[in-house]
Amino acid sequence: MRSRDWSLVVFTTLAQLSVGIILWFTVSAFILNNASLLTETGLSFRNPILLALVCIGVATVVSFLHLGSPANAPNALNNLTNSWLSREILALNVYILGLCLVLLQGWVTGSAEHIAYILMPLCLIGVGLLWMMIRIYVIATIPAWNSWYTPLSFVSTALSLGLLTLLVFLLTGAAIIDEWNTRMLLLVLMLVLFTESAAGFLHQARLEKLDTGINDLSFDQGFFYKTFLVRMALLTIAFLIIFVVILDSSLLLEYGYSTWLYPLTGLIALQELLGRLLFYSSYFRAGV
Amino acid sequence: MNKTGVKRLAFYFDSSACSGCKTCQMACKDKNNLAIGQVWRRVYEVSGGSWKKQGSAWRQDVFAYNLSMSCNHCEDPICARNCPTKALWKRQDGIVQLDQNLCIGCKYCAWVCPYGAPQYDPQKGVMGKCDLCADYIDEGKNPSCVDACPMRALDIGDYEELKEKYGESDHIYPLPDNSITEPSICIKAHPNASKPDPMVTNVEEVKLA
Amino acid sequence: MAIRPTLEISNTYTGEEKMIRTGCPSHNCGGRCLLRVHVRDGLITRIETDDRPGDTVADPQLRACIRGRSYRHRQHHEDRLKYPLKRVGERGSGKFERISWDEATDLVAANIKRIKERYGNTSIFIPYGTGSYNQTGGRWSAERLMNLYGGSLEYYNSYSWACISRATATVYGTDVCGNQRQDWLNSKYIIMWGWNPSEMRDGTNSEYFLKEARKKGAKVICIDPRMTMSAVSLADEWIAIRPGTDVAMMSAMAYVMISEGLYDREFVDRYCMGFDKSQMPQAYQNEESYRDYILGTRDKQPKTPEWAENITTVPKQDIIRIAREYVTAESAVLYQGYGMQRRAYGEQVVRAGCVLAAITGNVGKSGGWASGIALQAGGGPLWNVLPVLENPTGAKIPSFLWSEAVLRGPELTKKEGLVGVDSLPHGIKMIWAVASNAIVNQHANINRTIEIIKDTSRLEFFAVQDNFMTVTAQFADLVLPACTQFETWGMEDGWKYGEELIFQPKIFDTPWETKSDYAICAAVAEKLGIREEFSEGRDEKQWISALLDEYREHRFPNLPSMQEFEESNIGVYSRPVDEPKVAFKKFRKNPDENPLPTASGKIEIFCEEMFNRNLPDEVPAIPKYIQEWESPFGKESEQYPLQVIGTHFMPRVHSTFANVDWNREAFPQRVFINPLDAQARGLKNGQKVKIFNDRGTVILPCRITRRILPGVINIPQGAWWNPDKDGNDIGGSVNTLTSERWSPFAFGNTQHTIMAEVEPLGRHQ
Ligand SMILES: Nc1nc2c(c(=O)[nH]1)N[C@H]1C(S)=C(S)[C@@H](COP(=O)(O)OP(=O)(O)OC[C@H]3O[C@@H](n4cnc5c(=O)[nH]c(N)nc54)[C@H](O)[C@@H]3O)O[C@H]1N2
Ligand SMILES: Nc1nc2c(c(=O)[nH]1)N[C@H]1C(S)=C(S)[C@@H](COP(=O)(O)OP(=O)(O)OC[C@H]3O[C@@H](n4cnc5c(=O)[nH]c(N)nc54)[C@H](O)[C@@H]3O)O[C@H]1N2
Ligand code: SF4
Ligand code: SF4
Ligand code: SF4
Ligand code: SF4
Ligand code: SF4
Ligand SMILES: [Mo]
Repeated sequence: MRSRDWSLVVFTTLAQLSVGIILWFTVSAFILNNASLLTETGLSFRNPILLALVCIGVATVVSFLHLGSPANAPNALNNLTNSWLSREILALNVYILGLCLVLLQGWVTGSAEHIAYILMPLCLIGVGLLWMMIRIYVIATIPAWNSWYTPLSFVSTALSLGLLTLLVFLLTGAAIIDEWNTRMLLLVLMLVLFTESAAGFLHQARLEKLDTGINDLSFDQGFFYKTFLVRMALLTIAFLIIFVVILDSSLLLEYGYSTWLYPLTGLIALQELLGRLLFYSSYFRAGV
Repeated sequence: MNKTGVKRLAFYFDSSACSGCKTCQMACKDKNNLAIGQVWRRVYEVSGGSWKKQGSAWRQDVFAYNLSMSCNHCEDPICARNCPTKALWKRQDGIVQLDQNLCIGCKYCAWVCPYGAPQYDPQKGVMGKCDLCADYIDEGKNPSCVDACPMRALDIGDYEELKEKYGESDHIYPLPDNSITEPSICIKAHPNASKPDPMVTNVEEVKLA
Repeated sequence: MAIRPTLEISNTYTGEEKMIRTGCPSHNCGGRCLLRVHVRDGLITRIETDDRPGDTVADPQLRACIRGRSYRHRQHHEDRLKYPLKRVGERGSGKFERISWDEATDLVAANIKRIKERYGNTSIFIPYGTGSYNQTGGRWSAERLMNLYGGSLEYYNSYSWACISRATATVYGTDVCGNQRQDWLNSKYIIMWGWNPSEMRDGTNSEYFLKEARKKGAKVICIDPRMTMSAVSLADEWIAIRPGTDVAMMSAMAYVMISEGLYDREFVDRYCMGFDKSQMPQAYQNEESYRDYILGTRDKQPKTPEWAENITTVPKQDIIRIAREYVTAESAVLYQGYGMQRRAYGEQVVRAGCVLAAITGNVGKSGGWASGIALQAGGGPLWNVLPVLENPTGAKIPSFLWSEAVLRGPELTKKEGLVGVDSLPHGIKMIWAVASNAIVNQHANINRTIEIIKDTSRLEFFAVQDNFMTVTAQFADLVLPACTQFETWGMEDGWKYGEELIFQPKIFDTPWETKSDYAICAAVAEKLGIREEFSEGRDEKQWISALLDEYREHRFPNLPSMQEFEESNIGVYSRPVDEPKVAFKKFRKNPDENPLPTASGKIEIFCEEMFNRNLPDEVPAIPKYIQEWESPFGKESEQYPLQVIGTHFMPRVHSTFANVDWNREAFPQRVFINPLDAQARGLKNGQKVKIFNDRGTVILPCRITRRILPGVINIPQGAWWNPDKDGNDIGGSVNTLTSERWSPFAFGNTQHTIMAEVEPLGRHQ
């Protein structure tokens, strides 16, 4: 990975976290009790809308670091007809605007009534943003990215990080969530993680077969390969933790969750970052 | 020769005659005042083959050839299609131009172009790219690199006319499939270009930016 | 006036930018090309090349190479020398202070005077230095000055061609044995033997003519330890050969031709001497003939392809095939590069090549080639016409042996090539290096050289005149800032070949306190009281004007005048070669009426002069393969198993341009090593490695490349020596490793003959 791509690692991860948060809160708003989901509607970190906004806000600021001429940024909307990047930037703006509106609405009204329906359109915009983000990277000329893995990895980042945030919110907050629901959410998380690791292995196998045309660039050794192994190990550990927790009610209902929830959050966040790092490191062009 | 009225300007490159001397690269750097790290025209060294000892004799099937590349001013420029700002655009005569005043320096074009043509200029914060010496073309002159080549391995002209003059373009390693961008370049392959397991062997000289 | 009629060029330009046609500064670069220099506000904005219409084989454009095209970054380099500098620390400490020109010229003049009076004129030396051949620039005016002041110790031969120029003449009696290059288009088979014109040019357009020759059906093969740029772009086939063993392959080829009866018997009978017993000169009837040697009549070792395979690593089938192809080709060129004669016994390979050319009957015919140094028939470039005058001392040493003359001058005799005097009573006491980096960087065995020149009791005064603080200049007592060739008047004709003269008008005023080489010498002449004699009342421009007349008289009758050159901004005068001249044509037609300028009048395969050297093992009278003093077959290979060559590199002219960023980017300095050798040493591509022998250590990143024979590494010559705190050279000058030993007959530099070992750079470093 080229050092200047760091900002993109941060941008995509945070943006996907933001969309993931909105996604899961929308879904759970339909399933769970509306009011209990949003205990805070104002300027509080217990307000998931604000959290999503902060994430995307930071992501956007960081993404500017990637631009050589940020002053020209308004031009980025010039090519909506052809360019997915242009569209993504538009979607990003609309998404941020949407988040602001929802936040404002909650703040002003001070209630979370009808939140599921309010979140619905925002959620759709988020998914649209995610989709455009994916399209940017699925390009014929970059063999490592031009595969099923790109959508899968972007979506699963959103899903896993979003779900994790939801869990943290629910378990540590005042939300009323029962054991069964918690188990269900954890199961879903397990499923996402499983998919990620299976996809990770398959993708790695594919990468190793690609002809990079460059002597010094190969995916089956060196830093890339080691990072890959570390990530897979982290995934496995996270997977096992959840497995244990699901079986052990005492852990599941533990007070404070310091023994597993926070470590799990750290593990998953770290492996997502590593995954993204690997993603950008796998860049090479077809051709010259 | 005055090129006005041409529909699809294209390069001709004779890989069989190219020595890899990089005079074309330097002509371009000088004309465009390029900083270190910017190689709008660059020369790839491709080689392959191996050595075997038999008694005291060394037998080898080593081969090599060169590929001098700039921007290919593609018919279907994936760079322009994907550029969010429309800083990249195609002129009537086929030249894919870059307007640095529009560019935000997102470097996306550098990702997508399969020829390594757009290169980021950290000093200016924008992309740079071969413009086929559009100013020279407008004056009826050849691009700087074309008239530089001591081997006379480069030429310029209308794509169709070039093909008539030099024959159908060959597709050689490590060029990507032409269908991705339909590059406006007509290549004469080096005889070695058909040998197995070629490899770009001067990566540090060509992938600078 | 015979300028091209189709040309429409004016010297007035719209806007403020001005375009000036001029010669690429005439360094010793292998070419002479035309530049179009665009200038605005005292700065070059860009440089282009020859734009004359009608680029034909007879009169091709003189297209510049990468170095001419990057000249802007040399011309406007921030490190240019700006003021005269006097050493204040120890020699080589790099401590200097700025002084005035008055003081500087006083210093030079006073030292010339003092040393002349104390030790005699032969203690003053103006060494080999090839930075400028533009007539008024470079070392020539210093030589002229000295010759007007009693003379100096002169040198003969060169770092380039010591063996080839000397040895060619032993065969043909002359060095003018090359056809004009356009004649290559008449050839059917061309062997580029250690010759790499794509990279070293060897006359602008050599590579282009070869391309055209191939178009006309010539088969081209390249015999070189490296798959060179030329092998890639000009050859149908590359034969990898172990360095220093070419005579073995050449002898085996002769063996095939002789044993299969393929050689041109009639030609040999009529035109050669020394081929076999019947042809030996009267006084040497019983000596070994060439045929004897090849068939092993006396040494019991027939020079068979098997024998040669063991020595050269070239598969014997290839040797046999190439011998047959060469001898049966209707006409063939065996072109010898100069790298293989910059070696131990470099004389032998030159002579062996000439003999092959002769016994295949390729001498004196169109499409053929006599091999050897092959200066152009019909008169080639004159290189230098500024009258440097006779050297009153007559004393000469081989160019490469100056370090010996400093170290142990009084001991030097004829045996070390001293001529003109019986001895040098005090050796060299003063060196005035003009346009030369050949005191340190380009001379062999840098660590040794430094010790020699640091000793102020031997070398009492050392002045260096250059554009940059070169490795040589760092050791000077006095550094004189010369302007570049864009800042004075000059002209140049071809490098070895070509039918043109390029005019070099002064483009810029001399910046800072720089002066032209001529002006510096004139100022010194003033202090010595011989300004009038030195200048004959002329400045640089007037000299060029006068020298143009000289050229008009001796070479180009239709040459434009100075004024015509200036007003037309045409830059170059060229004479088309429609019917290329063929060397030895008359000789071939009738050898009795037109004998060669040799003793026998024939092609001398047996060399009487060499015989009389009485060193049969090192200077045999017929060309022989001799194992080099550092070789993979010797004991030294146990410790240092790799042969090192230091080839001439595309981005540089020797050490010139080594400090230009664009050129370094295009071709970074590397040690080139075969994957098998790299693997055996656990090296990764791009990794920094140590290359070392008893003489020194170089540290460089490696480039692992299949394009070099296993057992051989290449450190392109010319990178600037740059010692780290342990004395290891991290600049990558191959001369950190080379040996000061010279070849036995021509006293030539043998810098390509060395061995070394490579290892990965330890972690602690
Ligand atoms: N190991 C090894 N060593 C070699 C060789 C080799 O093959 N292997 N090759 C040898 C050969 S063939 C040669 S010819 C020599 C060349 O050796 P040199 O003659 O020393 O050539 P350069 O290194 O180019 O140094 C020329 C100097 O002249 C300066 N210069 C340029 N223009 C001017 C000018 O107008 N005025 C003044 N005053 N200075 C100017 C440049 O800055 C440069 O420092 O090297 C030899 N050294
Ligand atoms: N780009 C560039 N061009 C130059 C110069 C420069 O510095 N840079 N210098 C100019 C000058 S002054 C000169 S004298 C000429 C020098 O021209 P050359 O002396 O011909 O050049 P080299 O690179 O020393 O050697 C030429 C080839 O000989 C090969 N070689 C070395 N040893 C052997 C051997 O034992 N056998 C065989 N068969 N091949 C061998 C090398 O691999 C190399 O490819 O170049 C001129 N042209
Ligand atoms: S100038 Fe010509 S021969 Fe040299 S690298 Fe470029 S295309 Fe090849
Ligand atoms: S070569 Fe690359 S930059 Fe040039 S037009 Fe084609 S896609 Fe665009
Ligand atoms: S870097 Fe500039 S030219 Fe390239 S895609 Fe981005 S905006 Fe367009
Ligand atoms: S056409 Fe002009 S800009 Fe393009 S590579 Fe050639 S010299 Fe450079
Ligand atoms: S060959 Fe010599 S004269 Fe010609 S451009 Fe190169 S450096 Fe200049
Ligand atoms: Mo030389």
